[in-house]
Order: sequence, then structure tokens, then C-alpha cells
Amino acid sequence: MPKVVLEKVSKRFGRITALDKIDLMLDDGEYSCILGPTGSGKTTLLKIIAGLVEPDSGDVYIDGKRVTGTPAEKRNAVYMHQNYALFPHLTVSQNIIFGLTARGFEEETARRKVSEVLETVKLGEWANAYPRELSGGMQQRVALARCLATGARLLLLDEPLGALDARLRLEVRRELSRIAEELNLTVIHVTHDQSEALSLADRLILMRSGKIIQTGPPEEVYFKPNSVFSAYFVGESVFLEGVVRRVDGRIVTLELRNGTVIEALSNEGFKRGELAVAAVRCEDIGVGGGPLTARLKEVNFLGSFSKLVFELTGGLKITVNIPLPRFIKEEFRIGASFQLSIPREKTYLFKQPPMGLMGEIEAV
Amino acid sequence: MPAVETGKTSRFREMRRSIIARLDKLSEKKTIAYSLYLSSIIFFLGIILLPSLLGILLKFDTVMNIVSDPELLHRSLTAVFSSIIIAGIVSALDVAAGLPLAWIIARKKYRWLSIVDSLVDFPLIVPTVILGYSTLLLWSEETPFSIIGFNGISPGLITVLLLHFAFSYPVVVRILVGKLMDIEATYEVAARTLGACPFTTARTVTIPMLKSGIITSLILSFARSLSETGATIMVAGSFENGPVFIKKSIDAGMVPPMVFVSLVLIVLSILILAGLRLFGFKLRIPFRKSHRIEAALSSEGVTRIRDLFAIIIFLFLVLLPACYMVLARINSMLSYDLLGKIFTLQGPWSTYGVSVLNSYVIALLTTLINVMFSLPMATIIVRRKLGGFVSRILEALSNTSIIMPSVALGVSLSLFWGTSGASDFILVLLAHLCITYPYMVATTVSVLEDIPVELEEAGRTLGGTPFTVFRSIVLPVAKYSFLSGVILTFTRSVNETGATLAVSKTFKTVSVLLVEWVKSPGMRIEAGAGTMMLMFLSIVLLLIFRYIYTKGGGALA
Repeated sequence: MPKVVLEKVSKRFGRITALDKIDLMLDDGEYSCILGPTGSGKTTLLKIIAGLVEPDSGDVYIDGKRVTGTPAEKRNAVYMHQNYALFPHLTVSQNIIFGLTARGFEEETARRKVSEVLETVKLGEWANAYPRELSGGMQQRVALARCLATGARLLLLDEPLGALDARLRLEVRRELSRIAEELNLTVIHVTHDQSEALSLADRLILMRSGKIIQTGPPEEVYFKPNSVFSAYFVGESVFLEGVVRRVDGRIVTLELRNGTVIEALSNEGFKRGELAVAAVRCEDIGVGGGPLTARLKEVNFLGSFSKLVFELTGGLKITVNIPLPRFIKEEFRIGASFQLSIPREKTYLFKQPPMGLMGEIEAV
Repeated sequence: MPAVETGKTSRFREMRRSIIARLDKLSEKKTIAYSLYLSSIIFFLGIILLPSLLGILLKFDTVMNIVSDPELLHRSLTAVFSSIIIAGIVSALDVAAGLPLAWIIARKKYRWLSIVDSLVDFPLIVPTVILGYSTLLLWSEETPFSIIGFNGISPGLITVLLLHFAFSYPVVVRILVGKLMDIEATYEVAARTLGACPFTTARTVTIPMLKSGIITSLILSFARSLSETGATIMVAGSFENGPVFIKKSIDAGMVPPMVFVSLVLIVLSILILAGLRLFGFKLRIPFRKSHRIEAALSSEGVTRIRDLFAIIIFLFLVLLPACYMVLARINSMLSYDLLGKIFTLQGPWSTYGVSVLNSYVIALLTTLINVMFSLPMATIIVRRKLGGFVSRILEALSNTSIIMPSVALGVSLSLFWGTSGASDFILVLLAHLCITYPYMVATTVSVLEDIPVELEEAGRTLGGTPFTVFRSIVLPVAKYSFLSGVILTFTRSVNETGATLAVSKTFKTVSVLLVEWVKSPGMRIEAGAGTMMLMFLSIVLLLIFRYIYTKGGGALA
């Protein structure tokens, strides 16, 4: 069944390396989200699996069969474009029937299938409309129906929710996971929206500049980021650069630029005098009672939580997210002084990236 | 679906299905795709490019004969200079006069506009040589304007300019209307709500977006003006441009001027056209503060006058010359019993019937073959199947035969194929292929460029083979713009005379026959009647074609 395996897949476009020796294995029925910034190679990877782009080197296997070089129409993997690519000269039902007749279904069967999938995406009465007559959300559902009708078990979605408004996006997100579950599809879903990836994925694949940085269940990527980039791109973190002053078993003491000292837990074998970067989730920083003295600079009320920006001595800024029950407007007056705490068990410590902290996260 | 089908239609459907299935199978193979690309390149090099240039390459050594003869050199260079100047003036005037009319057609909503829209194509179906003769009658020999005291101008530079303006104008308007339709009105609305008057909007928003269309128009009218031979000779009097000089010296048995002038024209026009492509796109239209004059120019009164001017220019300088020969002969034709003679095929009319058949067979074959070979070629160019560099080279080379003076092209072709023993029919077909190829490739390229690649990808990933995707997605989406390329190719082939005459003395197309009739004093009435008949036939044929095309294309499953 649709198990997707990539072996050392590389692709270059001129001087740009889009994919650099990608290895990947996805299980049958798994919903994977490829997450990464623009230009990280997500779409290229998806198109290579679909057969729309040929890799320069490496191999692709679907269902244990090597499909490198097999044309797209023979792969039983169906790709959905970001802008849906509905055929403008065909009606909704003609759009859907295209894939069926192309795959040699009898007319009778094809028509039954069309009404079936139109039912699934709740567009029954729009069968004879042209794409231009539909709203963005409806077009999205037609594109999805067109893919589902082919009966392909492997669904490749390129930013499927990108063109929808925020409310609709949440709705369709639920629809997608319901359909995928019901039809037991293997889905690979490309996105740059972390909340989309976190909520949908059985497995998250984090990409950057043509490489896979981290892969695993969303909780694992969130709670155990393996790199500065992971911590930066998934969730929201504060990054602190400093020098390792002491290593005591797993406890590493870091001295920040402004002289402040913090602690973190790590098995990575840090040495004294080494440069390191500490990352803390914005919601894990404690306000009130802690060793760090900071002045409140900014308050952003965002509904269920509030975002507070503090400044340490020496100009270092720290953003803290506070959930609603703990946020009382009168307490958090701008200019007031607070004590902050950084729990060492929730602090991730990484070696200084070769391009420096800013190089690692600014290139995004 | 009809419940009952007769045996015949179901057998036909069965056959159609099996053919499609077989083509589907074939199109899946990569080797098939690449052999298609390869054969289209071989066709281009072997049938189009090499034969067109060979005459020049073979007789290249004769160039020295011209260079060493000061008098001949002077005459040649003057002719080349005149050609370039005329082409420059004509293409500039075409755009200046064509843009306002294109604007009216594309943006205004008068009911009579659909008539103007179809009348624009009218001069295209008149053989160019007939247009030349008609121009001569209208402005010189039998001018109707003598009633207002205008006694005609003698054949020369001015009549050549008038002629070239008339035959290149329709193509320019066609291109500009198409492009204007593609530019969404929302940009203009945005500019207007930001406070710009219509004239400023046009200058700062629409025209800059229209630049590629303007450049294509300039290139096509420039090239067509450089290469036209037959009609130009008719109106030139003692004036000489490049093609006229070549024709005169070939008639006098001299080949060297052809080689020299063609060569200089090709080199110069490639330089000019490359410059236009290169710098034309970089050229910025000045973006200054809008002046009070522009607001005044946008006033209703001025706009009305401008529109009126555009239509008057079109009516008098383009449409009238196109049908004047028929109009001038209408009286004598009425007393001639035209229909009786034509339909009983009496006297010269049997020859006429054969020549019409010849023309249409040649035009049909030319169009079919060119469609077949220009599609893979356009795919190579647009989708960069063989890399960006090859694409660019092929695109530039595919335009060569538009620039070549048609008489030089004809001589080149007869030198190339002359010893092959091919029949005159084949020679004429080959000549027509060369002449229409660039039009077909250029339109197909622009058609494919406008189709988003995602549509093709979606078709493939849904399970369509390359052939299915082409048949049921690319073709239906592109069918209208593709149609204009097909019509352009077909009409150009029917109207061609210069190269046809050069490759064959015996095989007569209808345009060649009409030229003969025009030249013999006793056949003037027949020439007029024949032209009218041809126009009528072309219109009917185009209508039938359009009908079949809109009915038949795009049917799925």
C-alpha cells in the first residue's frame, strides 16, 4: 500500500540546489506535513513524488515499486496545485470526470463516482457550474473532489489552504483530516503555516534550503527541537546567546552578553568557554519571582493570550506569552520592573550555528 | 446521451476511441516526444531555414561583383536605405493609427463595433498584389477624388507608403486588440480612482502594459514591409526599394544584386529587430506629472474627434483601397453576366476554377503541415524542452523568412529545389511553407505562453497521458488564439504571389492568375470579377471554418 520512500533525492535548478540528498520514509495511511519557509524545496519535493519534476539523482519508491522516471499519470499519486488549476473550459463535473475517463473508467461508473465525490465535498448542486462561478473555498473543494475521484490512495497537496481566509481555513482543515481518515488516504501536505502542520500531521517534516532538518510526530518536534532552526520555525521561542561557564553533569551554566547567568539541561557534551544558544518557549518564561530583572516595554493583547516584551539590562529583549487568566491589565504597566524566571528543564541548549544565531534564523 | 444509436455512428465512435487510445499509448513514450521534437527541428532546418538562405549562400562570391562596381553599389545601397526608411515609417504609422482603432474596438461598447471588428480583417483576404493594383487605381490612375479636384499622384514613394500601410495595418490592429482585451480594465479603473484622467491613464498604465504587443506589431509590420515584392512593384513607378531592385535585376538576368541586397537587408533587419527586442522592453515611457493638456486631451470632444479620425483613416486608407478595384469595376461587371459565366466555367473561368482549387489545396496543406510541425517547435521554445539557450536561438531563427524579400526567398528556393526534379505543386507548397512558418510558430508560441503550466501538470497527475492533456485541455483552452494563427497562415498562403511566381511558371494559384489578368489590358473586368469572387469565397470559407471550429473543438469524452 502507498508507502513512500525517497532515497538520496537531489535536484538543482541552475545554480540553486532545490533538494540536497533527501532521504525520507512515509507509512501507509499517514498524514505528513512538510513544513518550511519559502524556497526550502517543499514544492519541488512534492512534485518529484508526483512525477511532475524528475530528480537529478536518487530514487523514489511508491508501494515498494521504484517509480523514478515513471510519468505522472502512471503513478497513482495525485497532486493538487496551490491555485487548484481547475480547467477553466470545463464544468465542475467535467473537471472531475477528466481523471476518471483518463484512467479508463466506464462512463456509467465515472458518473456515479462524480456524484459520490461531489457529495463528499458537499457541492452536489454545483455540478454544472464553471470554476469561475465558484468562490475560492468552493474551488478548493472541487479541486479536492477531482483528486479524490481518481481513486488514487496517495494525495499530494501543495499549500491547499493557502488561498482561503482564516475562518474557512480552520473549517477545511477539519474536513481534510476527516476525509483522509475516512478514505484511509496517505497524504503529503506542504505548508508554511505551523499551526496547520501541527494540527493536521501524524508526522511533521521540517525543511530548510533543500534539506530535511527534523522529522517526527508534531509533539516531538515541538517539545524536542533538534536545532536552533526547529525551535525557531515551530512554536515561538526566545533565543539567548552566551558562553558556557560551567558544566556540571547535565546542568550547563551559560553567561549571556549582558552578564546574566542562566542554566539549561543538556547531554550534548558542552565544554567550558564554548559559544552556545539557548532557546526558551515564550510561554515557558515565568513572570514575577526569578533571577532576571527586566523592564516591561510593550503589551500586546491578543485575545486568549497576551504578548509582553521585556528588556533586560544591556538592551536584550525577551518576549513572554501569558494566557488570559494570568493577564491583569493593571498589573502590567509599561515601564514597570519585573523579575523573570527561565526554567532550566524547559530550556533547549544548542551549539552556536556556523553562520551565527542571526544567520540561522534571518536567512528564513 | 441518446439512448439509441445507429450502427454507423457507433462504429465511428468506436473507431475514434481506438485511435485516441492508440495515440494515448504512443504519447506515453518519451522517445516519441523526443522524436517529435527532433523531426520538428529537422523540418525547420531542412525545409524552412536552409532552402531560404541557400540561394544567398551558394552565390555568396558574387557579392564582390557589386562591391567593385560603384554605380551598382550605390543603386543597391539606395534601394536598401529606401526599404529600411519605408519599413520604419510604415510600422510607426501603423501603430500610431492602429492603436486608437484597437482601443475603440477593445474598450467601447457601440453596437456597430462588431462590424468594424470584422471589417479590419477584410484586407487580409485580398491578395496583396490585387491590393497593390487597387491602390494604384484609387490614388493614381482612376482616382474617384477627382470630383474634389484631386487628380491623383504619380506612382512612387507615396503610393508605396500608402500600400504598405494598408497591408500591414490589419495585422497590427488584430494584435493590439487581442492584447488590450487581455489587460484587465481594473488597472485602468484603479488609475482613474487615483485621480488620473483617461489620457494620463493610457500613457502611464495601459500603454506600458501594452509594450510587448506594440513591439510585436512593430516587428511584424516592419518585416512585412521589407519583404513584400509583387504589389510594391505595381505601385513603385520608377522608385526602387530593396525587393523592387532585386526583381528588376533578376528580370534582367542579374543574380548578384539579389544576393547583396538580401544579405544587407537580412543583416540590417536582424540588427534592428534585435535592438527593438532588446531595448524596446527596457525603454521607459516618461512618467511625469500629469499636465493640464492631458486633461484637455481627455475631454469628450477631443476623444470624439480622435475616434472619428481613427475610423476615417481606417476607412479611406485601408478599407477603400482593399475593395476599390471591385468598386471601380462594379458597373461593367454587372453588365458582364458574371454569375452565368463563372458557374458555367466559360472561357477563362475554367482556368479560374482550377486556380482557386489549387490555391485552397495548397493553403490547406500548408496550414496543416505548419500546424503539425510548429506545435512541437513552439513547445520546445516555450517549455524550454532543450534548454533556454536552444529556445532563444530557435525562436530568433524561426523569424528569418519573414524578413527575407519574398522574391529573394523564391529564387533561393528554386535554386535549392530546382534540380531535385520535384513537381511544381511540391515547389509551390514548399515556398508557402517557408513564408507562413514564422506566423504559425509565433502565434503558437504566444498561445502556449498564455496557458498556465499548472493546467498541464494537473491533467497529467490526474492520470491523463500527454496526448489526452493536449487534446482535452491545451487545445480547448487555447482554441481562439490558435484560430487566429491558422487563419493568418491560410490567408497568407492564398494571397502569396512573389515566391510562387519565382518557383513555378506553370502552376497557377488564384493570386498568380489574378495578377496575370490585371496585367493584360483585355482582362480588366475579369480581374475585378475574379477578385470579388475570391473575396466572397474567402469570407464564406472563414465563416464555415469558424463554425466547425467552435462546434467541434473542446468536446470531452
